[in-house]
Amino acid sequence: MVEISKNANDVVQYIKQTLDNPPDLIIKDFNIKKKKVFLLAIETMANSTYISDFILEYFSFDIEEKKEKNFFKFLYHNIPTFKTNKLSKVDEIIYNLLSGFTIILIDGYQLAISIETKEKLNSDIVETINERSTLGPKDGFTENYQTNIGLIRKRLKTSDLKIKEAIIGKLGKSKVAMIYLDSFVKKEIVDEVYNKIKNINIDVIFDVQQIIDLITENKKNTFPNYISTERPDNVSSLLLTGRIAIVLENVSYVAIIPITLLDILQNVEDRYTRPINASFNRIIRFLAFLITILTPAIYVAMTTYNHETIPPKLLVSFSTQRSGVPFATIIEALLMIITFEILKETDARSPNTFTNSLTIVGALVLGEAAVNAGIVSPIMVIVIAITSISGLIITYLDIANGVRLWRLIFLLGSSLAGFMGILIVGFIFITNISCIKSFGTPFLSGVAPYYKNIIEDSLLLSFKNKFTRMVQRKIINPKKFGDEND
Amino acid sequence: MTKKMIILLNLILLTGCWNYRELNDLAIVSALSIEIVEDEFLIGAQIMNAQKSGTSNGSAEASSNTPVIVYKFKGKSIHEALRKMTTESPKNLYLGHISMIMIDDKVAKEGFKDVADFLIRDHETRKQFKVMIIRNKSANQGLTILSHLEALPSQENLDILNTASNYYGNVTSVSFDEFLSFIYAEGVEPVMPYADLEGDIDEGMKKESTEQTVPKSFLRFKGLGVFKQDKLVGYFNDLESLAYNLIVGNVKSTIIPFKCDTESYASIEIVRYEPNLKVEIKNNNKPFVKINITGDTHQSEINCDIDMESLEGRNKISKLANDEVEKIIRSAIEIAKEKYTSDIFGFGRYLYRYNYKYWEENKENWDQLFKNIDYEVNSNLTLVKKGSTLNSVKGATNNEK
Repeated sequence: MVEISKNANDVVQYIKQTLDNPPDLIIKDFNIKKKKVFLLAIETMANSTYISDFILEYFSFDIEEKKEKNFFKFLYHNIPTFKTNKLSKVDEIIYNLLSGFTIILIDGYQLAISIETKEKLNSDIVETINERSTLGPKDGFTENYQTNIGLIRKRLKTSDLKIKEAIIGKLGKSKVAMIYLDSFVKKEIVDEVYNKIKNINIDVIFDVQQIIDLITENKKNTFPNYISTERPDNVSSLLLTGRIAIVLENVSYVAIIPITLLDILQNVEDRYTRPINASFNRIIRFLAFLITILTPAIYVAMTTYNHETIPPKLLVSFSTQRSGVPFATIIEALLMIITFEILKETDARSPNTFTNSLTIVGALVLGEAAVNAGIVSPIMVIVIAITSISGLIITYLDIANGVRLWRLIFLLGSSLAGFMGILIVGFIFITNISCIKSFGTPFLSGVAPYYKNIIEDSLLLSFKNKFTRMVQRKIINPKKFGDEND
Repeated sequence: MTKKMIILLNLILLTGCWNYRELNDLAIVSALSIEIVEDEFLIGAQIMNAQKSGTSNGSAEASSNTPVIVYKFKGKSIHEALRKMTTESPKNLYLGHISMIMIDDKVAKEGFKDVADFLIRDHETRKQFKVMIIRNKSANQGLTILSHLEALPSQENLDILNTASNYYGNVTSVSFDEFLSFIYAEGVEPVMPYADLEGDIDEGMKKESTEQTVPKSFLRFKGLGVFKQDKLVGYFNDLESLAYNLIVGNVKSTIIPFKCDTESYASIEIVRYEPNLKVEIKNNNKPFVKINITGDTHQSEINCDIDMESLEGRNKISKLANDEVEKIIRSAIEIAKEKYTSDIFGFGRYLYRYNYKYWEENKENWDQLFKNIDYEVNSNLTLVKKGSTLNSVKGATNNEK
């Protein structure tokens, strides 16, 4: 059905059906001059005050008394709004609706009126704090549920975007919305997750993380099976690859499921720069991921077991720096790592006023004094510094914590058997992360199971003039998109 | 589950650490010297001094002591002598980073095989360290001379060896494993670079000697020692060693000086060249060697009056240079043939590779054949650049503007 039919009720039903009866679609009907009039708007996008004050109030005047024969024409010309459009196609109605317009349908006319009632979604939206944006849009999610959904809708004005809502928390009664693009997502995952969310039995819920924990069966994994982000552009771009976004009321983060390791190493901003530079960034990020996990372990293995791997010129320097340090290298490494972790945690928890003093003490203790006092060697400070800096490249906190744990396990392995130990822990590590499944999708998707296109796209951005997100949809739903690119 | 984990953890943690050694508990040996004195090995070990300066402050600068310490011990076996060093050294010796082995003239003459077993059997040593002979003094004195431009003497010697072999060509760096493989290879004999210690050696081991512009003593690479099997039979001088390197293709770049008139000299720089060795069997069932050298040269210096603008002049100087190259190659082959009877150039190996039948028949009396071998040397080096000026400064006349 492309043209608007004369029966307004049919049109309304059709729109409802196309949008899958979203919870934020408002339909109001009343009779004027014996004709049925429908008023449609999307709550999350439209300004309700505006609708009540100007449109509904106008209807409450005594229009009946006006002697206009063509009621539609009269309304179109006289409704007191700034921008009024005449629509003749249903697709246009849907688009206008999703953009925040209010639609008036009158029985018997094959036309609809759309009135601009856009909610100003940018009002109290602030810049993101943890995921900083350099090139992309600066808006971040807020604590307002409606605004958050609006921020995503704003970017994906398509009838394909579906929202499923549930209310969880016996006392808190928080709204949770699952947002996804219908044609890209795997239906089984949506149904399963939705059922699980609906059946959550808890008093109050405060964070998306809690929801994910409650619907995940295997909680022993070191890496999380979701990522939480505060950037709407990130969410929208991930929705395009067939992911599901979970929005919780009063939370300024949105969780994305399912995810893979390759997602962690990507950044939505890669799409905003030239492919060749973005590819370089991705390779750097991948290297940093390896460096942050392995550097302390490799240093310990080199200096305590596999001395032959150190170049001769460096060997003297290493040996000189180590001389006079009373502790074993592994103790030295643990000392520095723990000190750094304490510093990081303190910095995150302490009020902003303390940060300066923390920085000074941290820099002095970690950098200068510890070396001068002969407790640690200067090279160890460098090793830990490289490790920590590389670790900061991973912006998702949960992932960073997983990486930290594995760093320690690798360190333990190397302190017991040198490079052999690193190799053994490496096997365990790979086995472990390849066992992780994030809502049915293997964590290593792209690598194992192997998709050539995805690997290429993840490390080196495609230079082809083609929307490469198409490739990535295969991760979530290989059956559906399997033949697309092979 | 917990029980299993505890057992597993204990299995890992209580077994101790295999081959665990802290870096600062090791005495890192950078070079070894091997001599034989009164039927016993005399081993010298040069150890990198990784001591911090001072005790209280933690700066990572090296101490003001000498950069290396040399220990010297006798033993019935090499390993015994090395272990005895722990009676003097506070740290156990670590051989993984040896970069050079020095032997003296006597060990070289009596046979390298006598000292090779420990070095090849030991799991710590890499087999790529270089070998060299100290000709005029005892080998352990070679370890004591301090470096002048590099931090570590062994590193400096290694760098000198590489630089000399790349830019001059009178030596070539030979590693331990290469040397051994040459001993056992058919139809070719090994060479080993040798150096002389010059100056006052007792002064050279003091730190003060590095604090003056002219070092009190130094180690100078002179050429290549010629071996027959594992035994040294004689030494090649500068030019003969260069000729050897030209024949086998070890030279990257070198300078050849030659006479361009009765008293003055000119020189060419070889920038790219390719030796071509062929051994043919003549009608009298005797091998005949053909050596062809092609490549590019730059005219680097002319001290006599030759008209470089004319084709004749350039041809003349080019011919003189080629004649000189042929001459030095011939003299080296003559000495190897007549004096040492050692087929270091690998003529036999060529036959072994390309005429195996002949080699099988004649390898028993190859020495005799090599001694009387006929050969022909052709040098076809092309002069590709004349440098920034045409005629020599000496030959320039006033009427040339």
